[in-house]
Amino acid sequence: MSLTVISPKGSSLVLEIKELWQFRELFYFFSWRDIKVKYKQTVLGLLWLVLQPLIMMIIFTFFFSRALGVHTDSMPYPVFCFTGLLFWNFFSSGLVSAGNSMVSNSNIIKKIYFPRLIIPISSIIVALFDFLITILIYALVLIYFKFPPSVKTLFCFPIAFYIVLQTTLGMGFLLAALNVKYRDFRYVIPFMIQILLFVTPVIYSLSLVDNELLKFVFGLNPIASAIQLARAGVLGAPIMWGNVLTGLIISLSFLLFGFYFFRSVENEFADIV
Amino acid sequence: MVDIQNIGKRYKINHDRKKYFTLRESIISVFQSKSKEEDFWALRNISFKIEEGEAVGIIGKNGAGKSTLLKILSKITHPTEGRIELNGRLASLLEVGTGFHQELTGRENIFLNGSILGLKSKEIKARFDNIVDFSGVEKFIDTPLKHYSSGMQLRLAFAVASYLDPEILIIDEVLAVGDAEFQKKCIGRMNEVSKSGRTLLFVSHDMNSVLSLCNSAVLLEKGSFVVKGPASEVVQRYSQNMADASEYLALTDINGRPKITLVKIDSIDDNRLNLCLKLNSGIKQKISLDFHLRDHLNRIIGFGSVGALKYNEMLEMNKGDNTYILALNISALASGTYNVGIDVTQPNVEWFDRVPDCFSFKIEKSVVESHSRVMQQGWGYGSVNFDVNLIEIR
Repeated sequence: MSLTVISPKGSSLVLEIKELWQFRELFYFFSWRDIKVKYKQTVLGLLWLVLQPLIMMIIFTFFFSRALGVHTDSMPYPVFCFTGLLFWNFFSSGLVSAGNSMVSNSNIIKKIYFPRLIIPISSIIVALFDFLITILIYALVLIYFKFPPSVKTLFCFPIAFYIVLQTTLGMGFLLAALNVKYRDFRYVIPFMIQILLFVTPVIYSLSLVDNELLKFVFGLNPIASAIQLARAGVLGAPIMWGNVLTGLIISLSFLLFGFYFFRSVENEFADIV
Repeated sequence: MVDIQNIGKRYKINHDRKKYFTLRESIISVFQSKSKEEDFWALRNISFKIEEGEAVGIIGKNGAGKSTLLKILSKITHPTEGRIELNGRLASLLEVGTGFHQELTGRENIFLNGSILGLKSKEIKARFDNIVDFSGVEKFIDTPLKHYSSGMQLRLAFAVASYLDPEILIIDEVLAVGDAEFQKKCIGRMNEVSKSGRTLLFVSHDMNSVLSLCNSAVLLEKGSFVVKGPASEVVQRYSQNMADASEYLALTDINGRPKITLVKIDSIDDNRLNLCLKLNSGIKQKISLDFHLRDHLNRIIGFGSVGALKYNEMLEMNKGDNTYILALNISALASGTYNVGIDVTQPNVEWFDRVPDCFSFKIEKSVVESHSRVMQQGWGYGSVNFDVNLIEIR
């Protein structure tokens, strides 16, 4: 039998990670529950996952490419836009649901113990599920526009995804924890996502920007680095390694900071949520 | 084994603030002194040990810190000071049906709830049939939970929790809901659990279930530890503490019906309780006063009355305040605590006022001669000691 010690200090990092592993099935059950509930009593069900990005792609193509004539670095606008949307949607939906996850699961948090980190991670897994379905549609779109996935695409995408994942996890932890303490963040999150969309080249190309300061700001945005990397992969263009490296480092620091912050307030959750 | 050492839990209370903060308040409070905050110790200096296989009831009034202690033990909230060591897997059931989702079916909810409570899906599969059997919902197992009655949901939830098989099981007052038959079933199941050598911690306001389930009990009062000992003794002590309020005060009836406005014990000894009663009435009325005695487990012990059995003894009330001094013969009662309810009625016609827990009193009989004992309510042999005399030896 194992000895458990409960003290004001809380458990050590190693113990906590061990515990996450012990409770690993809970990741599956929480995300399975959310996916199941999300598409229950919808007529189209999972078809929504296919329709959403396609409709967005068509609308953006119509407005930005046809009506405004946005320049897209020798890439057909639908492919250009879908590449951005693929990662952006994962990031934004993961961030929104992770940010609200602790508050919406407050009844469980107040009554049962399990590693709290499972909750925001599971809600990001739900977004990941959507991402994986969308990527199938995306592959079809690539083939349709005669950009079949190449070795370079397959090389760039996992790195791009990794950068986005780290950013989403880090910011998700941070916002989830802040939201428990300050309910203001319920309103801050959607607002923040809108602003982030402006500073991320999802629907426009970075080559439109020629202000040095702005370029520097964009360089710090890990989602922008990820999307650019993915587009380079699809296009077969040279990879800007400096950009990728900054993306990796900044997203990692997001992850570490978010994780640290979450852990530091974790003990109070049940008392204030 | 559970070893609780000096546990304390402090909450900061903000008298004019909500439970959660807004960003604005946090920003402002940086510039303000924190004078509005007040420390509140929900628990302080709690130390006791629970041996393996012990079934412990945790009792105390509302706000005594019972639930806080359970929350600390189940790691939901952290102690401010102290340390707890426990051996073995712990599972807690602080609320029935936590983590149930209305849109999911019964089957899906068993798996979800089981895994939230700490089971592996393999373990849930092994217990699945038992859980469904106990809950009695096999017909609806693939129906979404939102179509279940609340009783069915409760049965299902308890079934999942009771088949967790942890080494230490913590149960908060979850049986307060549900009908008598279900409660019996649950108590039976928990008895099984504790008989199988597992440690059980059980919080309840119902002293009967504490006594039937637990061999020992812990009494908490206002966040402090009072005593740990055999369940029957601790339960009795708890009931005595409940007897603090021995005076009753109320306002007059707005419709002018006869009403009790004051009850006070004038004097009490082993044989006689003198009671001062003030009644108010807007009319002239003949009344009877009925006394119901209940023991520390809320079992009814006896009935006494002026007027209910003999109509010619009924009291004649005048308009306004009437004060009566009544003597209750309590010589036959065992040592222990009694709660008294009083009814003001016109026998067989109507009742005017009814105060269920009007006052309580305590009898502490002392041993008069050696080679004798004084009957105690806590023995569970009843509360009335009547004479049995030997007539003849042949």
